[in-house]
Amino acid sequence: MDLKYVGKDDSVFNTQDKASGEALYACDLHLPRMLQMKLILSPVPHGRVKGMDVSEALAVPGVVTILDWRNTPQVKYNRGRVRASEDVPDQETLFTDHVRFVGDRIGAVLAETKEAAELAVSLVKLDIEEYPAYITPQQVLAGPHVPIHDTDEIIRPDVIAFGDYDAEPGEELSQLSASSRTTHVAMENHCAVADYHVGSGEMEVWTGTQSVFGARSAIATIFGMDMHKIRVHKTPMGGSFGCKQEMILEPLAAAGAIATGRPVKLWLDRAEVMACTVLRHPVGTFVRGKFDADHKLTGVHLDILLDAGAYQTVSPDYCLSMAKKINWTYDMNSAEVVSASVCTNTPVSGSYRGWGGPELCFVMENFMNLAAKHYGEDPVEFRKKSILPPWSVTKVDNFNLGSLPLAEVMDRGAALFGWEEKKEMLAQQGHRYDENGDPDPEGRYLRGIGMAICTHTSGYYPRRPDWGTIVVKMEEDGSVSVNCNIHDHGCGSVLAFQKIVGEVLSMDPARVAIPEGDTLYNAIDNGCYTSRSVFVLGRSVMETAEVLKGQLLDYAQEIWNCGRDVLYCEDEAVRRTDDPSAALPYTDIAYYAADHGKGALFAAHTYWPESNAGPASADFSEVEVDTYTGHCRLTDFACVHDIGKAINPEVCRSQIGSAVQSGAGMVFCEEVRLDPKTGAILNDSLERYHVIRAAELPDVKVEFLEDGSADGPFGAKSIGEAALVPVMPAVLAALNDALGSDLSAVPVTPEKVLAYLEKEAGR
Amino acid sequence: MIVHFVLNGRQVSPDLDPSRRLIDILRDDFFLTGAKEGCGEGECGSCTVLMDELPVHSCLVLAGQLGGHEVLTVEGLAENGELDLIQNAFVENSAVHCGFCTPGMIMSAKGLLMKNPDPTDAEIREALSGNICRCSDYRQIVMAVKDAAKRLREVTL
Repeated sequence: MDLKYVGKDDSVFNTQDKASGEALYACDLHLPRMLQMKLILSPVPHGRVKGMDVSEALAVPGVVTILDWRNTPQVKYNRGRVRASEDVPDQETLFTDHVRFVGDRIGAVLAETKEAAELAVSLVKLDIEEYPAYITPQQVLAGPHVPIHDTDEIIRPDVIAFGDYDAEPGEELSQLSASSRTTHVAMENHCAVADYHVGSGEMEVWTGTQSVFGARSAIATIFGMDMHKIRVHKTPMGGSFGCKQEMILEPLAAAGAIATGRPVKLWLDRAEVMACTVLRHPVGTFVRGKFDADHKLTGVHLDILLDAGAYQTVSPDYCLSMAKKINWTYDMNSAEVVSASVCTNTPVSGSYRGWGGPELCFVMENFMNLAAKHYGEDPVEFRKKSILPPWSVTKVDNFNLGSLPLAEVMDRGAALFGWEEKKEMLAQQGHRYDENGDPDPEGRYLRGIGMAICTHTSGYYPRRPDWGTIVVKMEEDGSVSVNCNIHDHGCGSVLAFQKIVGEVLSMDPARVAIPEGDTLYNAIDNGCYTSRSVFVLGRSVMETAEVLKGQLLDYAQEIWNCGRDVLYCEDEAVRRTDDPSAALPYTDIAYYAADHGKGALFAAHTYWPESNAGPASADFSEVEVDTYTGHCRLTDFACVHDIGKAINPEVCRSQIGSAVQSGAGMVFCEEVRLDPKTGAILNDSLERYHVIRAAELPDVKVEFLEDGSADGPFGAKSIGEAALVPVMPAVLAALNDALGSDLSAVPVTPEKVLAYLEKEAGR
Repeated sequence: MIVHFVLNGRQVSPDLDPSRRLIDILRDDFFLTGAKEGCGEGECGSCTVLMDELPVHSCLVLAGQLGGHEVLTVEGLAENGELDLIQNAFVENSAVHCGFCTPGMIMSAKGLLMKNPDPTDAEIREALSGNICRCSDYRQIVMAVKDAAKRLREVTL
């Protein structure tokens, strides 16, 4: 198919207001009479607040009121619940006197200025009876303790299993692995603005969220409000990576607005974002796998221990999300995944880009790299014996995984990276290099290469009912407005939808308006999660635009009194194959419809996905280790991603690049470190929490496989989450190759590299 | 104290507490919200503005340091309703994603190009290492800065 907009790189019309500095994020909003909210946080990891002296705080000029657990609803909720009908554990309240981690919310100050609010918070005097604190899941599991929660403190989700692993023949290999807490470092800190009208009982909220309906549902539940009186707007979002998908700030700002009858802004500074929103789970796993005589994988047994932090929130689902992916990449006769999610007195763990996908891939790909090494085989060829063939049906949930070109992405990735050449060179010249990059057995630098593969999801199907209900309407001038519950995380989904509509209607995408999530106008939706935006909502938008196109053709047929088969759309007009000079501009049709009382050019449509083609992808990486400092650097990276169809190719490349930045960061440096006694964050600033900067990244090579076979719009599959999935194991494999190690706990910080080298030297 | 300084080409003389941060003055007093706060300690670069043509973190500059200086924010770049050359290079090279780092990134790029009209990829990456973008590996941003440099050289030839 000849495409005019889809697959092209024009994003100018979509991004100018960000480049001009005019785009208003939630933190940029100013409303008349707006108050600033500042949270009063627990300084202790576990205890009971016996009293709170706020007399000095209230005396600060500009302070309006102070909220705490005594004057706000004590309704228990789950910040991860998008619809009230979801069965998830409720443990959290707006504010609490039973504090469960350093950073738990005791109350909040509302003041005219942020300076006044900050000063008042510092003057609040807390009387807290401290309880013993449990910083690791092992401490909680060890036996009797002061409960963190009365119920659901430890949750053991259903075991996901098929076949009989124990009875499986073959050689068994095993590996322990672990990954640490990380913070998302979305550049925009969390912020929500809420306004409550005492007269009408109406609430309006502005927030960079992944689900305005989720935010509305949480507010309605906690405050017992009618949903139609709560309007939540999705503001431009300065990145999420999962950190803005849970309902954390919105109910708090709403509480402030209700208490004062004034607009309230709650903005968190970077330290608060790290302590009081959500961190990526620390995960500990033990994997066992069996291999037959040909070294093909036959079965897997996996134990997963997730540290949920102080509240369970989404963690039990996270366990299942890891477990259910066990048969998405490798063929096996049997599998058994046993998991537990345990509350501790630490900051809350929760959603992170990929939702269990990167965590499972990390375990399985490390393990496959270990096994390849054990059998002395090339990691690419070794995997080919065990990968699922195209169009496989997974044994968990029994759905078709799509074209699944795992062998193809590996082969193309190996070629793109120069895998064989690099392997050959390392074999001949060794892993050590000097400052000039020349081979030197005594050289300062070590170099290694590694790879990993994955597949990932493109939406909820079939694990949860999914749909997209959309309205596409044409204005009198032929421009188009789309009503869709889209939440652009900053990765171009609105741009993609503009191009989809432009392509279907053969019109300039700049003339397609797609306002983001708004509960007042949008049809209810599952929210922009699980990489479903383009695959599900994009397809819904495409089909709805096709319905509108049908209306245009109907009226053109009526005007021209001709056959339908001669009509086609091009450049914002209906045209005729039998008369090249004939053209009915869309605007003429829009006026015809209105002036003849035909009604509006207006299409409402629902699409229900019936497939979930996951993208396959292969990552290859090269890492250099400085043996003097322990510092590791990514020196080369290649990714082949089976995207089906790249709607915004350059933006898709940036998604891969972003994933490489954070995935490699999680291997080398990204780690939220906690005080082992108190669970307080030791590095709660960007000065002490390191991300990989521009100068430390190589030119990432990316190729897309575009077979167009999937049910997404124009054959597209997902990319946002999937991009991150194989990065960590691919980078860790290269690091292990450089060191000659089998490390399986990340991050491998410079201190750990030096410790490893010292230990090896001592042997 | 009354502080006289030039803001986006205009002389301004606000009454300021000398310990207030420039970022707060820009955002709260002048409603210039292009400079964003991502860390408050000069690590992320989202609040970068130019002071006398040098990129500075507006979260680290205090009111007392402003007197007699020229401050340029992202809002000061567009003229007659048209984006400037660097802004256009960013949008045309798909270098704007979530957009939160973009104003600071553009100001850092402008600072670099004022000093070095023909930077290499490595020099661009070095110059932008005080600005964090989490939506990319900086590829498109480097492309945009190179493109802007080329266009600027053509304009000044």
